[in-house]
Amino acid sequence: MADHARGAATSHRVELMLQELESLPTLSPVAVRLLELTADDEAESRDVIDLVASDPALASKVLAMCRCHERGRADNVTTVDRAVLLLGFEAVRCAVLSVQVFDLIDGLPGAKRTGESVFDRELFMLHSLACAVMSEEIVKAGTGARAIRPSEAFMAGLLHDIGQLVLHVILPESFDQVCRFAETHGASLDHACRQIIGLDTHTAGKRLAEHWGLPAPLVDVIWLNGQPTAALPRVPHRTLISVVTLADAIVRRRYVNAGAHWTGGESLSALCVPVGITMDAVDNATASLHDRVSQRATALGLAEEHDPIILLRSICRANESLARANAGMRQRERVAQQQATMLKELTRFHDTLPVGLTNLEALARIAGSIASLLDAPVVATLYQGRADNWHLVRLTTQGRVVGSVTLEPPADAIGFDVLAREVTVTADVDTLMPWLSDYLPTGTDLAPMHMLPLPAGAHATAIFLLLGTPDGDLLRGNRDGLVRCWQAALAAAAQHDRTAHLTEELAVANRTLMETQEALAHSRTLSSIGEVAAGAAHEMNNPLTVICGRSQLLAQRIQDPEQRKMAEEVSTQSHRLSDMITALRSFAEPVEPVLIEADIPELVFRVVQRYGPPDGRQPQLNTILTESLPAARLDPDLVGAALGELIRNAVESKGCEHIELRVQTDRLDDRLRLEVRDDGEGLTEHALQHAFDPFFSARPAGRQPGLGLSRARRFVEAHGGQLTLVNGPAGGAVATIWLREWRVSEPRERDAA
Amino acid sequence: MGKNNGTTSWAAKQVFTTGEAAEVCNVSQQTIIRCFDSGRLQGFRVPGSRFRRIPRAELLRFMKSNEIPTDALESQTKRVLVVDDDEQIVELFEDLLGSDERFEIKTAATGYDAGLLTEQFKPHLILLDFMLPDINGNLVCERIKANPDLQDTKVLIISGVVSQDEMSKLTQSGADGFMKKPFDIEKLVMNMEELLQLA
Repeated sequence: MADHARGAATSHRVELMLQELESLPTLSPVAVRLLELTADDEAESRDVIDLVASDPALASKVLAMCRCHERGRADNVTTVDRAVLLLGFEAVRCAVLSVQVFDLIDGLPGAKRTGESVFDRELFMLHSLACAVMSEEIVKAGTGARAIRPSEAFMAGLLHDIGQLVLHVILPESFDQVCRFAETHGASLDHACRQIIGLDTHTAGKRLAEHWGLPAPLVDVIWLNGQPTAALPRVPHRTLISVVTLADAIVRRRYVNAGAHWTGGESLSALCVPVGITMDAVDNATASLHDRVSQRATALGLAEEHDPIILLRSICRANESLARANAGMRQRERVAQQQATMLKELTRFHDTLPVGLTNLEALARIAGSIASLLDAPVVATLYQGRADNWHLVRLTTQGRVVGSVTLEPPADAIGFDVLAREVTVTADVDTLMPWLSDYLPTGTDLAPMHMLPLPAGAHATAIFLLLGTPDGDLLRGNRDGLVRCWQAALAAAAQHDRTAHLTEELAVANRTLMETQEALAHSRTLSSIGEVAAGAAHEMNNPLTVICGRSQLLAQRIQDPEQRKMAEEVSTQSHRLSDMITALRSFAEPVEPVLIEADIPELVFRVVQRYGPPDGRQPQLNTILTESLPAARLDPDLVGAALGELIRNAVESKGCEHIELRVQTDRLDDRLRLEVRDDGEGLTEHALQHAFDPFFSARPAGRQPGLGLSRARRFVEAHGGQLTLVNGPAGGAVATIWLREWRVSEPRERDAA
Repeated sequence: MGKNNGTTSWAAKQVFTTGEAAEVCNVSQQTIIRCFDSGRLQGFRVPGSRFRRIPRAELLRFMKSNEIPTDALESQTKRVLVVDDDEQIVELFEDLLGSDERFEIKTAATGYDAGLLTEQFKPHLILLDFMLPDINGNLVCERIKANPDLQDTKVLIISGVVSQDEMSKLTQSGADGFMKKPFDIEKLVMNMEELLQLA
């Protein structure tokens, strides 16, 4: 789009210039008339001859020209008539036209501009004249250009670069710029013209020639000269164009180069071919070039200075050009040297970069690279870590990390991202982050420090603090490659850091998973016990049924009371065995508590009645209800059974004399706490670990099979509660049921109850 | 087949002559013949003769619809079908109940046998084990309860299973009672008496 806009602006400007060309004055009536006349119509040329003769100034110039033109043959040409007679109408016509054209341009406003201009008019005129003479000589000497009249070749050579003159006249400043550009960059004038003005000299010249109604061969020469022969379009005057191109090349290389342009192009010998001239002939023609040119210049009134002086000026010009070219080359060499330094550093940095750098290592390496490239030590690096904290990493001059601290920037500090994004490469630390001195060693002066931000994506941005003013060129100019490399290293380190962090998180997750799996395995163990029990239940219950039934039948039939009691005992024990199978079986099933509103004191009373020791016997059980508890929402059967198991456990514990049952709500989180504390021996480590395993018993024998605590825990956990068993501080064991969300939440239910 | 203690043994009889039917119903033979001929009592004639015969079920229907007490037809002993695949348990039941004159016992070891015997034996009560080798007890129970001819048959399931899931299946199957293995034999007999209205 920008190209489009620029293109449009350029073409608009070109159009304006062309209009200005159109508005230039046209040729005088004499010239116009001359152009109208064909060479072979001598009779009608009478008017023109009279016209020229009637203008003494014009007549004298024309005569002078004619004399120079045909020196030796026409020395005695004194009148226009005679000139026409001796030289032919065509020669006279050319002379008139030449004089007219240059007079006209001389008469243009701005043509005689004062002040320094890169474009040297006189040199240009000299060049044009030399070209004209050379063209004429070529036509005379060449075999391929016989059809062309020498005077026509002269004319063409004289006017071939008129475009330059025109642009110089109408756009003096721009054209100066063009000349300078072409010289500094070693570009062709036309290329420079197109770049800066948007219109080249040949096109401008062509337009002017058309405006003036110059003959078609001249227009073509002005338009197409300088182009390689092979590139010329199929115009009728190709040979003439080639002649002028050759003449121009010869003059540029051997005589005078005007317009400050050098078009390398084809070699002279190559240019000779289409014209049909040998290099020897060219050399011959060149030999007398100086004299002829000065004669012609005099005839045209151009040679105000002597030829050697003009040559001297030409040499001076060439020297100036050379100096400018040298300066350009020096500049380029400097850039190339910088690039080489950059490239060397890039290679070194890249080659020594190991995989898997940590953030700090990467920062240190980049700092080293920056320091060696810019010749300014990096004292510290600001770094934005994973958690958006700022870190300050201090470095030694050798690029070693001294230490890293987390920064706490003041509230009004400029945001890190803003700094990293918008700060210029050599911004002052002093003005942007004065608070930073708090984190640097006492006495550190921020004033000589400068910042070099290196943004490398989210959570991978660093700002390097340099001591001293770095070479601005190195930073501003061609640092892209190296900076990208630094950025890549920083980003990679950040990525590595993130990966490491993720790995840590993964490890934590794995640990949690392992613990969960252990818990699951435990509950699976219980479940599989249940599964086994379920399968066994059927198998075991049938023999039990037989034992039980038979023993009962037996008991009915036995008369002896003692024997009958034995039979009855068989039956009782088989029932117990069956109950155990049932209990075991229940591990395979989820416990689904039926939550109802229950009175806690009543529940506790019932449990103590059922599981507690009979009154007056050891151990003693004290029940403490510390407060008046509201009704609770729970399954009284399950909670009762669980509490009963705890009491039974305490009663059976060795050395127990007193049991305390305490029911209260926890002050911290309002959990309901049912605590059974005994003064027995407490539990061993092993017992604590396995207390909730089915069938575990701390005592080797003489204890009821222990499904108790295991079941109790299931019942409590079914309520979303917890059952804990620990050794009390004063000895003995403390078993506690904790229930959450036990309160009857909705008042309406309480009312209904 | 258990021995019948009484003078008549109508209980096991499946087809009745008009004379027998008259005795059961305590009416004259002529009344029975009239009812047979008018179609109010349906039956068949012995092929190749004119002898009338009345199937037991039709006789029962006739007696009930005419409000004739069926006591004579029904024996006082209760037919009990014991279904269990465990031989020892079957023997235990036979020992326990066989000596009780109130019960007439038959046994089956599979669901299939149970079905066949139910049709044939018309038990008053089935003691049904839940875990049978072919089909589960609850299905047997469902079939029996779905049969209108067997609506008077009671089912007492005796099982070692305890899970809530299986319990709910059993109650859904329409069983009249449930006892857990191993059982108290006195409680079992009490349960049976209750179901058979013997107490």
